[in-house]
Amino acid sequence: MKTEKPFLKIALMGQPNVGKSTVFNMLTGLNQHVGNWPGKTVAFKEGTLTFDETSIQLVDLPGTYSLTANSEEERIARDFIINEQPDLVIVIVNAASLERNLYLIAELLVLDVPIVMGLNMMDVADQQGFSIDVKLLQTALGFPVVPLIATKNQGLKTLIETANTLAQNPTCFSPRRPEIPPEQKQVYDKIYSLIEKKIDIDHPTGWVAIKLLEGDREVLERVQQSAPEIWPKLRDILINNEDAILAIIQSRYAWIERMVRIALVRHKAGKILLTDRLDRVATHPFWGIVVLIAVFGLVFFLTYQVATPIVNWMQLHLMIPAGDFMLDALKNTPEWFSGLIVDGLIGGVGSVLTFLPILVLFFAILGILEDVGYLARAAFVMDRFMHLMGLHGRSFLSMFIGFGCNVPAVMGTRIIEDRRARLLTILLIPLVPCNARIAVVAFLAPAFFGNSAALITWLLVIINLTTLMVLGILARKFVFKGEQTPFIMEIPLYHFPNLKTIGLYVWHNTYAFIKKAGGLIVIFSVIVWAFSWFPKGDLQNSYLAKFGRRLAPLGSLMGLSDWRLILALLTSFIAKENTIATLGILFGIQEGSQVLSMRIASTINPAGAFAFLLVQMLFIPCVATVAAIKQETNSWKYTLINVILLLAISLLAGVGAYQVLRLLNIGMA
Amino acid sequence: MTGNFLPLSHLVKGDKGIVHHLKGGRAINDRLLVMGFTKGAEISVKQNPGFGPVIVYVRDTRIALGRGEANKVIVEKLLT
Repeated sequence: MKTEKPFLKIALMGQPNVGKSTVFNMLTGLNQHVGNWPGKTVAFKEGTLTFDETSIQLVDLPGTYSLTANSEEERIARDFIINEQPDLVIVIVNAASLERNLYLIAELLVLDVPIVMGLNMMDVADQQGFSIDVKLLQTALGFPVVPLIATKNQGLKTLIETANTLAQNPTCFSPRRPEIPPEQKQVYDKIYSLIEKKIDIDHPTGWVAIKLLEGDREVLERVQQSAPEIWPKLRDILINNEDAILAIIQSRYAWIERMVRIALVRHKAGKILLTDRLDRVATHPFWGIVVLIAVFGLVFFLTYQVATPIVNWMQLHLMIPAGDFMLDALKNTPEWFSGLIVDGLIGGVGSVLTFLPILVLFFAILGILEDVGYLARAAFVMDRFMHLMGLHGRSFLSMFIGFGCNVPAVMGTRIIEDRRARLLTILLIPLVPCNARIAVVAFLAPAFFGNSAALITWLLVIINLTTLMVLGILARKFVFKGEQTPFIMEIPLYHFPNLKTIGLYVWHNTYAFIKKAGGLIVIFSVIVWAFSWFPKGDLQNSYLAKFGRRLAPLGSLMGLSDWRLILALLTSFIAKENTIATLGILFGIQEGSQVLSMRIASTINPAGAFAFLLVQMLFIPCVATVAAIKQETNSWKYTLINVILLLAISLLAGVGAYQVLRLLNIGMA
Repeated sequence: MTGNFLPLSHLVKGDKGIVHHLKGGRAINDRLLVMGFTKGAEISVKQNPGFGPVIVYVRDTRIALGRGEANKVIVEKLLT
């Protein structure tokens, strides 16, 4: 085929839970560029592929139910279509819920961009007892429909071929569009003629008129600014037709029902679906919580049983030999230099490396839970409890991500539309013990508490979550008063996880961690080492020691008479995992080795150790999280309040716990 | 079928109903409409423990609604 356009820009759209990421990953593989939308925290993914000598740039737009401007994702998606003017949009649709999924297409058809529909999950639709006549559907819609089973790589080649053909000949695109109901059509015509040539917005006028009729706040504001002279008249029309949106959405669904009636046959499925059978337990008011606790337990169990031995192996066989080798190689250099390289640099790199097994494992579990469809159930089960804090299931999802890392959790609060609910969720996220903090506890607890390590870790997590609940309820009662936002969430069908999707998910997140935090941790390790060495070349007289000793009185209230422990807490501000790195340097032991945890354990009694870990768990969030909080709240005041509040809570808890244990004479030996 | 209108939250697991109207504010109604809770849409209740959120089946999709939201959807209960 002779191609006319050598380059094509194609956007990939779809509602959530349609397997869009799988399609994107299958098509682009590792030729992906992942980042953020400029100035936004919503993930931006684009990839390239070549088809028939055409180079295609594929942009994966965020999953959205509609093209209103209710959320950041929806705004990004619609701005992209309007401003970037892609040659074509591929809309991925879930064949198992065709009706609801066609809504996005109904909205998209108002814009003038060619569409190819990828009808994904044909196998799932089949299992649900739906049979879809693709040819009839295609005729009814008036644009190409390609059946897909993305997880089995079926139909994707045809999809790209079809998209390429239509994009090369865009004039062939002549879809049947949903009509505006007669009553609203009159008003629409009035608006259209009023704004035509008056507004300085480079959107199609027809689309602007529809969005005005729908009462879209963003479009309203832009028209008001662009053409203030027609505003009073326009406003009168719109006020008289406030209910127009109801009729418009109703008519879109009427159009959808016509399309579906032609092409879809629902066979009465006699058997009870697997999803319903599983949900009897997973969404049950009591058993659902049991399942949730079991899943959490499994996550921690795997972290201890799988990741920890790998971490220990890496230290024994990689980091210690590397240190010894460099020490030997640098024996003719000044003492400060070899110290810098071995203790500072290699120690820091080791700290980053030892986090990788834990992160990979965690992201893999999270990816699987999300892909299987369990996270939506978890949000449903938790909704009742979140209501106590004036939040709902969506906030729970953000907080759950916080178990991996607080930074993406804070960023992920964008899925919460209401600003107050978002601020409160951000305030509470640092109380979710992230993987780094749990890893520190996992490293120290066995040396401190022996066989009770797992129990103590569990207790610490429970204390954190209880603190979170109490703080949330108090904040709800006294600070964030008022109404709540709606909780409306799709519960996807369960399905088998896709390995490629999960693999890429793990890769992107782990890579982001190395890129974002890796350098910072190494630099910090070097700085801490320098402060612990200069001015006299020994630890006891270092700058760091002086500062730590000054804080000793506060420490002794928590049973931490050793200033080095206080200092380790302070350095965890840069990154939580630094607690270990700092202790390694201060105790002069290769960071991470088991000798270190035993040495630390020998300097404090169990009560002090408990207080130490408690403060460590509740302490102020790391620098990266603080930066994210500032970015998301856009307020230094709020960020500062957040930090000070957590500092106060953690220190009070540490002192309180130690003093209570002392009075009860527990763990004082 | 009689005129048996009640909030969706009053239906129990297994019940079916037809959406009659929404009585929420603008924000809630817009979201519900987009998700397919338009007049005449058939709904069946999958999960309703009597407190907390509910799960319903509408337009071939399972959707979780907070109790408040389910109160805003007025349905005509279908007698089976």
